[in-house]
Amino acid sequence: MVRKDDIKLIDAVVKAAGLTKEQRKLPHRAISGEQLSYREILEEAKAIQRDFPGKR
Amino acid sequence: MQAAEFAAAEIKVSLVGRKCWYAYTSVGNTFQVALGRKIPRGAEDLKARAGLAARREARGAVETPADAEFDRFTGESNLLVWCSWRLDQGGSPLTSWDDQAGRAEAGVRGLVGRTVKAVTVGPGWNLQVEFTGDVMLLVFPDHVGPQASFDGNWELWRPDQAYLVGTDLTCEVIDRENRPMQLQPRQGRWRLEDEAK
Repeated sequence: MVRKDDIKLIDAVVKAAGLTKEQRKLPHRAISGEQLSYREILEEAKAIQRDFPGKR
Repeated sequence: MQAAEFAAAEIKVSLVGRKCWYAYTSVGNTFQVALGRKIPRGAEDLKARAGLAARREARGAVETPADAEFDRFTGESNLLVWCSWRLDQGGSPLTSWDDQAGRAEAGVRGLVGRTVKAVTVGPGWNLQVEFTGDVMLLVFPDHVGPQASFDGNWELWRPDQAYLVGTDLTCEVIDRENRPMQLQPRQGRWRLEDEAK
């Protein structure tokens, strides 16, 4: 996959999950070194949002 | 002094003289490095990262002791790069965002143990970070406009606030509760936008 397409994928997940700029750092770390699908990354983002709520 | 100039000066001060103790790459060879003192993370952050690490372990992802340490501590300064970048050593390219993932990861992890010697923030928030060992990190904010690949370019996170270079090539300053801040030029400090009105 073209690397910018990978970045577009995480951008789409961040927007779909409604993550803040603080929250979006966590899926970046969470999926490091892994090849996950859009759905898997979205699930990860939702779990992070659940554990790390509020304005952050 | 204008807000952009002030932010650039603070970014430099937040990086120069600080040693990199953790670095990793992620999706699309984007990366983050942690520099300076190791600061314990807050309870919410710790909880979220414990869950994150457990899910990674369940998926069989490789976790190193350094990864675990980063989940307990944040850097005095953390540089997170979403846009294009290149690493040079001795004036020759080492790797870049467009390289094979393994080579990009090795290059970025090679920053661990190096100290920032100098920082230049150029037009368009181009960033040059010179590390010891004649290693130069060049960051090019190329995510611009409404259809950008990602809603941001590079970010510097400190314990109190963050500097975010956006797709309009301006630098937004926010506190750690995601609230925008505004420079008070006379006082030479940032205040929450809501309080500044």
